[in-house]
Amino acid sequence: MKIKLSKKWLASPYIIWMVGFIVLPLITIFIYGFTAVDGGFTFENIINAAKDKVNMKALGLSLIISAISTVICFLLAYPLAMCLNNLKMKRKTFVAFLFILPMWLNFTLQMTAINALLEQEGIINLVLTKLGIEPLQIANTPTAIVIGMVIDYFPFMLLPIYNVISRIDHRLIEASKDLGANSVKTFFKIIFPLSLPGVISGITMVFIPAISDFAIAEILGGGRLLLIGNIIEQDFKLGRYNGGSGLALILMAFVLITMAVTSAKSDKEGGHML
Amino acid sequence: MKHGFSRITKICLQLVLVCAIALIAFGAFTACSSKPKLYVFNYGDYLDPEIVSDFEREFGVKVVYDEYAAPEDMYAKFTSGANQYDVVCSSEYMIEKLMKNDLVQPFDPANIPNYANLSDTAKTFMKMIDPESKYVIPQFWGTVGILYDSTKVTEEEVSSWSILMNDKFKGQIVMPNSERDSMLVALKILGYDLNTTDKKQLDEAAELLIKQKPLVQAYLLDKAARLKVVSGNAAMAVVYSGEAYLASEENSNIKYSIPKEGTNIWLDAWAIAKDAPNKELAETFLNYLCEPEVALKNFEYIYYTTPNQAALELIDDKNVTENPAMFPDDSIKEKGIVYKYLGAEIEQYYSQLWKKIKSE
Repeated sequence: MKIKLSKKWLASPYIIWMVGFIVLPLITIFIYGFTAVDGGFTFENIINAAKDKVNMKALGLSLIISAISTVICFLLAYPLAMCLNNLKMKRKTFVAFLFILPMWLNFTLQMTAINALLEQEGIINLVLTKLGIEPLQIANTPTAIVIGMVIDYFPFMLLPIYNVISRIDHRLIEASKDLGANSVKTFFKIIFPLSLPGVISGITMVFIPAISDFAIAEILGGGRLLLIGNIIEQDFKLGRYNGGSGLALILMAFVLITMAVTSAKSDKEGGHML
Repeated sequence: MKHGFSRITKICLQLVLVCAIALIAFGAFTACSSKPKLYVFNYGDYLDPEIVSDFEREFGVKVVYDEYAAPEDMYAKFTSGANQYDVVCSSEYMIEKLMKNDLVQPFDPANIPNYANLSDTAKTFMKMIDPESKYVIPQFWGTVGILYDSTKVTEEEVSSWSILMNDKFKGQIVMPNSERDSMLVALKILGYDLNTTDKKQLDEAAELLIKQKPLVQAYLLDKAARLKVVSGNAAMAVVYSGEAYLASEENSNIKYSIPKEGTNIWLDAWAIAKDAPNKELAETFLNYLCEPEVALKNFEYIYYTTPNQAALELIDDKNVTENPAMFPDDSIKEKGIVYKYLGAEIEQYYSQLWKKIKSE
C-alpha cells in the first residue's frame, strides 16, 4: 500500500509542472477570452474575432497549409516506414538515428537555410538557371511554408507509423499470403488497417501543431502571409489579451474537433497511440 | 524494495533542502552587497558592454542590465511591475507613450551637465516629442530611406518614394515589417502628414500598400532587409539609416537615398522611470553616456548616427563623418518628421490596417 502511494507521488513533479504551465495558462486564456477590457463577462471577443474577415482568412489559410503539409508528410512517411520495417533487426538503431537526425539542427537555422535555398538568387535557382530552366518563384509564398512544415514535422508522422507497422504480427501477413492474397491485397486488407492507429496519431501530431504555428510562417513567409498563429502572437505582443484569447479559443475549438474526430476513429480501430 | 525506495526519497529531499538553503544564502548575499544598484532596460545589443562595466568600475556600482527586442515587449514588461527599472531606452513614440501615461519623470539638468554636448540637430528633433527638454536624453537617431543596388536602380529613380510602386521592380522590393514605417511610404507618396490621425487618409494609404503588395518580395526589418539587397536578392529595401553604412561596407554598389518628399526621423532615447528606486544614479549614468569619449565608444560599437556633437568631433575618418546616410546635411531638419504617439484608438486602427495589408 505504502509503495503504491509513493509511486503516485513520483508523478507530482510533472503535475506541478502541468498545473503551472498548462492548466493555469488555459484558465487565464478562458478568463481573458470571456471578459471585456473593463472586466465584465462577454462573448464579444469571440464573436468579434469570428466576424473579422481578416482573421477568418488567416484561419482558412492555416487550415489549408497544415492540411496539405499533413498529407505530404503522410505520403512521404508511410512508404519510408514500410521500408524501414523491412530492414534487418540490427539496423534498427539506424532507424532511431534517422528520427533524431533532423533534431540536431537548430530549428531557426534550418528554416533560415531553407529560406536561403529558395531565394531568388538562392542556390536552387542558380542551378536551375545554369541548366537553362526557369527559376522558381516560391520564396515567401504558401509553398515555402508548406516545405518548412513538412521538414519540421516529418518525424512526428514517421515515428508513430513506424511503431505500429513494426509491431504487426508477421503471421497475419503470412496467413494472408497462404490464403492466396497477393501483396497489394495483403497491404490493403491487413497492413494498412492495422497501421491506422499510427496513421491517426501521426496526423494528430502534425496537423495540430501546424495549425497554430507562427514561427515558420514568419521566417519562410517573409512577412507577406498571415496565419492565425501570427495574428494571435501580434495580439498578445501588443497587449490585446482579450481579443487574442478570443481568437485562441476559436483555434482551440478546431484543435478539439480534430482530436475528437481522430480519437473516435482510433477507438473504433481499437488502439490508442497517443 | 520499500527500504531502497525511501532511501532515495530521503536523499532527494536532502538534496532539495541543500539547494534551497544555498539559494536563500545566495539571495541574501546578493541583497546584502553594499554596492548601489542601477536597473537599466535597453534594446538588445544597443550599448557597448564595456561601457557598462567601465561605469560600474568608475562609480563603484552594480548595473543590472536587461534587454528586449520590440518596443511593445518593453512596454508590457515595464508596466507589469515585475521589475523596477531606473532608466529605459526606447523609440521616440514609445518614450512619448511612457510620458503621456505618466510612467517617466523629468531629470534634473544640474545632474546632467553633459547635455550640452548634444548636437543642435538632435536637440531640434528631441523637442518634437519633449518640447521642454525635460524628460529625454537621445541615444542614437537616424532616418528612414531607400537602400538600393546602384547596378539595378539609378539615383534619379530613388529620389522619390514612388519608385516603390513601380511595376518594373516587381519582386525586387523589400518593405519594412513595421506598420508605421510601411505606412510612411504610402503617406509620403500621397502627400499626407506622417502623424495624421485622419482615418480616411490612413485608409487611402493602406489601399496604396495593398496595391503595392504584389511587387513586394518580403516585409523585413534591420539586418534581414539589408542582407536582401547586399546579396543581390532585392534591388531596393526601405531601411533605417543605420543599415546603410554597414551595407556600403559589405558591398560598395549599395547606396542609400533619402527621398525628396521627406522622411521620418527616428530617435532612440533614454528616460528615467517614474518610480525609479535610484534616480540620482540614473542621472549619473545618463550623464556618463553623454561624455564625448563614451558616446564615441558606443558609436563605434553600433554605427548609428550619434546625437553627441562633441563625440562627432573626435571622429577622424572622413568616410564616416561625411557619409550622407549617417550624417545628413542640415536640410534634414526641414525634411524630417518625428513620429508622434497617436493615441490608443489610432494605434489600434493602424494595426487593423496592417493586418489587412498582410492578409491580402
